[in-house]
Amino acid sequence: MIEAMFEGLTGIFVWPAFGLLLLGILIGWFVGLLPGIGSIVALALMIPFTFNMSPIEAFSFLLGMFVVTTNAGEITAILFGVPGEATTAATILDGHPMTKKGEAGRAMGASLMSSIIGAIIGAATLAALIPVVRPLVLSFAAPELFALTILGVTFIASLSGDNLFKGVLMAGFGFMLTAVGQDGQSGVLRYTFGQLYLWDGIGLIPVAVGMFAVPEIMDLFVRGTSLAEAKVGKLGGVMEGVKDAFRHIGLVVRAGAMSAFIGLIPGLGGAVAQWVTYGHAVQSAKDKSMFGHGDVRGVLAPGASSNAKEGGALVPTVAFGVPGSLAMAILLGAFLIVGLQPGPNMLEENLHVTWSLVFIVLFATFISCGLAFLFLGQMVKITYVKGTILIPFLTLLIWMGAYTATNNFGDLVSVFLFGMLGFILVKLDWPRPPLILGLVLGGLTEKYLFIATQRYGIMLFARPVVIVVLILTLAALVYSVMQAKSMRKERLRREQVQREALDA
Amino acid sequence: MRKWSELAFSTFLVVFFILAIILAQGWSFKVKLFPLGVAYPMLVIALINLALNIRTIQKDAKAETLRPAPVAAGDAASPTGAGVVAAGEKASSDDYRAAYMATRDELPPEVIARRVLMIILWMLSSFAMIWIIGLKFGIPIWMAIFLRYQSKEKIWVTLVLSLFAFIFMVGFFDRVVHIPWPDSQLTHWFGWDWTFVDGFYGFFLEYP
Repeated sequence: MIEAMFEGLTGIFVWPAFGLLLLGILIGWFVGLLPGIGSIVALALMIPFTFNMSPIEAFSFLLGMFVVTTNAGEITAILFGVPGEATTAATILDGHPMTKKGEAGRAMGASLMSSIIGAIIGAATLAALIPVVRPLVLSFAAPELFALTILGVTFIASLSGDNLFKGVLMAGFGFMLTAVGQDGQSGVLRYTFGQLYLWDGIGLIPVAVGMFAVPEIMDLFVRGTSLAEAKVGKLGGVMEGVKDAFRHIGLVVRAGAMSAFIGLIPGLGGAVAQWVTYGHAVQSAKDKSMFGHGDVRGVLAPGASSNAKEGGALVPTVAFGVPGSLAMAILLGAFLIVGLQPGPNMLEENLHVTWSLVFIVLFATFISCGLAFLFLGQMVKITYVKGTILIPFLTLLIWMGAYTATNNFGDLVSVFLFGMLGFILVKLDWPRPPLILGLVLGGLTEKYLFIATQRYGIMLFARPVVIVVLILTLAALVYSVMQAKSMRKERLRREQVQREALDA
Repeated sequence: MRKWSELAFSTFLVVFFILAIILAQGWSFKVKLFPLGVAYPMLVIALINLALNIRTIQKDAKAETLRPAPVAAGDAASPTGAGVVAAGEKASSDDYRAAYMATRDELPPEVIARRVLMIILWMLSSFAMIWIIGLKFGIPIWMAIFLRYQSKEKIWVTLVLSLFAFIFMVGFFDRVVHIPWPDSQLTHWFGWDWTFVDGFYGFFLEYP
């Protein structure tokens, strides 16, 4: 075991594996900064280059690139409010308001530091669970996955602020959007109105880009200033962000562990992990008033999630050849290309390769975050560029981001329409995150509900894990409703004080 | 104004869920189970929300008629945003929030409204440009127009930035990633497929 670990560690530091790791990191940064060209596209494009590589070289290149794209995607989310990846949309909620307050450096420092901690948790999860994970993963069938999606739905309450009604309605709207398109089970077309574009349903990227990026561009235009409304410190508080990660270490560790667990379960995906951890950050905070207005905890939780979930997702991929996500499915292809057979073999004969995966996740994050810290000062300067110069480039990014995700012109229409909807929601003070969470969870909920009812009927509710998860769901729901009530009370009290002051 | 906008949006949601239910009626049980399972409870919540909105408006209107004399409008630049709240109107919690939003921007509401309209028109124009000319050329041309006439940038800044955007799009998305661009309407209308420009940039990108 120790020998394999050492072999895995040294394997990534020999030439050309280390050079390929650095190359992967560079490509990952570039790809991650461009909305739409996500890690999936990057992995698919780069796989052909691995044909003549050894396993460790190939994974240094591919996994290094993959891990970094999410980090880079968080930078665009924080700086411009444009999610580089669908899995970085939650970072916008508090990251971009921090940029507006002149705290872009702090937000990026917090995001990168929590990413490092998340990567350690993810890698540790991968290392620790590989030998014992089999019974855990096999105990999760469709009913358990359905129960988990229902648990995810309870986070809507946390994402709704002090108005649960509005949050639930927005989540319902998101759920309904997932019903658009060809029904996965029967092939019947639902709510397509004769439009070919709607057959595949409404994608997460155009909705997330429209809902979050377009209102930001409009706000930038209306304000007529730069992205940052205030200047803070030499680097905008990068070190402050790093310290924040340690101030809220409990939250970062919990978010990392939750994401590693979500990553572990095939079929839930990275977007779920980000929103669930964001919801947890809100739910577990005593003072929730700053969430959505630039609370660093809203950056830390999704930041920790970004790399932790990859460690978790690698577990079923390596141990059983069951990919935890689409990216893992492509990576599985790379296993076969370099002549590896995922499964028990990876824990015996090729254990050193498995260990190398653990170290690649770790070192790719360390190196990329180290490099990012060097250039954060320069990145922060972008936020002081005149808004009228940035707006055309941001417009270019949102159109390109939306189009390149599926190469469909209809996505541009979606971005515009959801952009307008996002703007209306901002102006009317309706919460946007529940809509995205609904969109993320809706398809999964329906799919697993269908499979579970077909296979188990009503007995799906008699399975032990389902019962436990549903009890947890109920507890989370009661707790969230109570919290929402107390928040509303607090808001009304504040407004009463304000009103009295005005009348006086 | 905000309350009426809120009412309009709440009504939109009610109509949305009613339509979703009506459209799902013809499907088999399995197909409509999920949409109806969501839409029915949501319709109930949307109706409650709508009723609450109407009640708030009625309550505010009643309070307004009972008020003996109009209260003078406050200072528009006051941090509490009192100046934005109309004179004589009983300020509801929503008004306070709206007032805060407006004063935060320190811009008169009519300027905000004009700028919102302008940026929507700019975005629509960029969309139209993409639709008519195509993504590859529509975006840089739109950028040039925006930078020159909206941002009032110098001509060389406009050209350099637009050219940068064009090279970035063509160099990376076209040449490296090979994104299949959507056909422009010019292609449909006149069979104009921009090959002469392809040849132009191809000369610079490939021959050296």
